[in-house]
Order: sequence, then structure tokens, then C-alpha cells
Amino acid sequence: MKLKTLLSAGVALAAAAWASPGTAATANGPICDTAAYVNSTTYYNCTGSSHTALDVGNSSCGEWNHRGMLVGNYYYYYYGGCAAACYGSTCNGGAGNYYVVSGANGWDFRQLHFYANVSSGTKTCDRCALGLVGGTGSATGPHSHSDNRQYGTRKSAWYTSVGTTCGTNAYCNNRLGVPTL
Amino acid sequence: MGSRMNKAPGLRLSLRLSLWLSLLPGLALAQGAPVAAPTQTACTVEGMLDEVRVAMKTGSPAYRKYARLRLKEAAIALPPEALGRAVSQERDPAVLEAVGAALATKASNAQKPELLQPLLSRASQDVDPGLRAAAVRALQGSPSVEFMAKNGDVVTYEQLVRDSAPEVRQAVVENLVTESAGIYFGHNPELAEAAVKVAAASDDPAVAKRLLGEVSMEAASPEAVRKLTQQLRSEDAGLRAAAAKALGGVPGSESAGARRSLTSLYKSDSDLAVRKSALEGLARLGQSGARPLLESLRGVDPRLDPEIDAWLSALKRNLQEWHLILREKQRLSP
Repeated sequence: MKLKTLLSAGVALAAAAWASPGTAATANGPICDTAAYVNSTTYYNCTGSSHTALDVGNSSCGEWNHRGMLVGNYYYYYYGGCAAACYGSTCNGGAGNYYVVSGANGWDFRQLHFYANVSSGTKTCDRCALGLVGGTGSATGPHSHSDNRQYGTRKSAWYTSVGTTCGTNAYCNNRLGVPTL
Repeated sequence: MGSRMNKAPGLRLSLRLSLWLSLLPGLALAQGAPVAAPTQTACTVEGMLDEVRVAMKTGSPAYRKYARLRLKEAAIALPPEALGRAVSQERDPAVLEAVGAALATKASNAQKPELLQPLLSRASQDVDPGLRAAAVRALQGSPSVEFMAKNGDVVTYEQLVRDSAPEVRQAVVENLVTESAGIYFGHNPELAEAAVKVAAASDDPAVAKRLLGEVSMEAASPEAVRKLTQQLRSEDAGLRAAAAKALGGVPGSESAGARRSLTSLYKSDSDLAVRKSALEGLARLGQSGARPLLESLRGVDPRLDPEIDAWLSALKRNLQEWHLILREKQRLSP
């Protein structure tokens, strides 16, 4: 009887692991400036503590458009309310002004630390301007943070699988990852 | 020396193979057939459309796809006026679909829904049904419901689904299904509402069934749920069944009313498929909490008692996601 229960649980777990339908999207760089580079991936500055996300910067603040990274139309839900900042602020739990694209089965894709402008707000669009590159929330300098999570846990395969690492050029026509949604 | 001896049989084999292949008439013709080589095109809307036109007429499926995608991606940097003019003047459906999709990308990227007006005019007013359908298909993958609303709802899917041409109605369904799943992942109340309205406006039960069956209702508003519930009284059994399944996916705030409607449907409808769909809707609404209600429905239609048993067994597993429960139930009773 115990064996039967164990087998049933095993089958259910295997089904749960296998049945995690998600769609592979494509994420390009967030800034249409050739001076934009990836400067943190799985670890802060590539050698520091755990990060599991991409940070991209072009050494500017409140100047360049911070674009939706996903290629194709997606629904970007905006969480705003943070005053303009380039070197950090305590706002929205450290995320600053940010957007979330909610996919299926707990998957999401987030872009953080926006410097809000007239473009900022919930919208459906294809690589449109969502605000400016800034440093609202937990940020030591202006940059774009992007992560891909399932049920709140950050994943790294979306950028490691396409070879994105520190120093990768993050111009808006360059593919940085294939997040699951 | 040994190496040369090893190569010789392989060389002979490849010579023989070449000889045989050259004798095959189809391949010999293919070798001599003229191939349309891609030519250099100017980076203007007109130049790129010439390329799309050639690709659509003589290109392979892969080249056609490439030419369409290239135009769509280039549209972000192309002048919207030229794209709009091309959409207004194009007479070839395949090219209209490609340039229309490019215009939709431009409108979305620039956040200017008004750019879509020439495409919406073609979709609603062109005399050629093939061109109307192409214009509707060009909107696929764009936030078309939102953009139609921002253009004052002058053209809506409710109008387009009444088009006399089946290909236009088909394109409407494809757009809504794609938009719900691909852009919003089922989380959008406007899409759910649009699907219910379009299903109600359609005279074609197949269209309505597909919409209710495939557009997610997880964010449906109370008004959309009310309209969906009305479809349970449709004369078409297939439509009643699709509405019953769709009611299973409404938000938690609407679940009590949906549960009552589905229970009543199960008890009163004489169609077996409709009753089966009502059971599925009830199982989805309550998941493991639906077991007492499903138990109480035993005996209403003895032919469906095995179906109730299958649901009870699947729900007993306490699986946490609907697609897992559904798969388990299908494994027990397809």
C-alpha cells in the first residue's frame, strides 16, 4: 500500500515537473545605445554575491530610453511611485519603478529601476519605451535589471543558454536571452 | 597506404550514387531549374515590398517567412506614412498581410494606435473578401482589441465576425485566441469580454464554440460571466458545451454563481456532451473542493456516473494545477 502511494506521488511529481508549459520569448537589450553592456549576471559584477539576473548599463541616467526587452507584443504591468533617482532609493522593496510581464504557470519577466517619464505606465507593446534608464530602488548606479522567475524564484538558463555574460554588448538589436513565459 | 585503400570503396560508392542520382529525372530537372536569387533591395518601404512580392510569388516557405519577418522588423525604423500608404494601396492579399503586420508592429512600438486606421479600413471596407481577411490576419499578434478601442471602436471584432466571408470570421477567431494566449497569457479582462461578445454576435456556432473554448476566462468581468452564462441556453448543443467548459475557468469571485448555473445545467440538459462539459466545469471551479458536489450528482444520469467517478479519482490526488488535473482525468477516462 505504501509502495502504491509512493509510486502515485512519484508519477504526480514527474507529471508536475514535465507539465510546466511555458513559452520561450526572446529578450533583446534594453537600451538603443552601442555603449550599453552587461555588467552583472549570475553574480554581481560577475564575481560578487548571488544575483541571477542581468544588469545592463551605458553610464547614463535619466537620458536614454529604457525599452521593453521582449520581442513581440507583451503586456507590461507598471509598478511606479518612486521619485527620480540615479544612485538608489528605498522604494517598492528595492525594485524602484518596475514592470512585470506575467506569463503562464507562475513565470514572469521583470525590468527594474526605471527613472519614470511620460512613457511610464501599464501598456501592451513591442519593444516600446517604458521610461528612462535610472537607479530607483536598490541600485548603486543607473542600470537596467532584468530577471526571469517562476513562482518568485529567479532562473539563469534564459541568459546562460545564449551565452550572455559580463561584457556582452546589450544594444537593443542584440539578443540577450530567451526567457520563459 | 592503408589510408588510400580505406578511401577507395567510399569514393567508388559516392561515384555510383552520383551517377544514379543524375539519372533520376526529377532531380536532373531541379538541378537545371532557374532559381530566383535574392536581389539587393533598397531600404525603403517600396524596396522591401518588392522583395516581399518576389518572395511570395517564387520563394520557398522559409524565404517567404524571412521576407515577412524582415519587413516587420525593419518597420520599427521605417516611416509610418509610407507603411500606411502601402497598406491602403496593396492589392495582393499575401503582401497586404505582410505590410499590415509591419504597420501593426510600428504602431505598437511607437505607441500610436492611430497608425492602424488604414489597416482597419481595409479589414472592414474592402470589397474583396480575400483582402479583408488578409487585413484582419495582419493584426494577429498585436494588441488589436486595445488598439481598436483606442481608435474609438469604429471597427470592432463584433462587426468583423459578422462578415459574409468565412475566411474573415476565421481570422477574427485566430486573432482573439492568439492575442489571449500569446500576449496576455489569459490574464486580460478585456480579451475575455471581447471573446464573449464576439461569440454572442456571431451567427456561426463553430466560431462561437472555438472562442469560448480557447480564450481564457480567468480574468472575465461579472458582465462577461453573465453573457457567458446566457450561452448555456443556446439552441446549439456544442455552444452550450463550450460555454459550460468556459464557465469552469471564471475568476473565484464569480465561481458561486457559475457553480449554481452548471449544477442546474447538469440536472436539466438532456444532451450527454453538454452534461459532460458541465461536470468538467464544476471540477475546474472547485478542484478538490468539488468532490461533495460531484458525489451529489451521481444518479442524475447513470450513463455519466463513470465520468463522475473519474473526476473524483483525479481530484483525490490533490494536484495543484488545472492542466495536471485534466491530464489525470483524461488518463483515467479519455
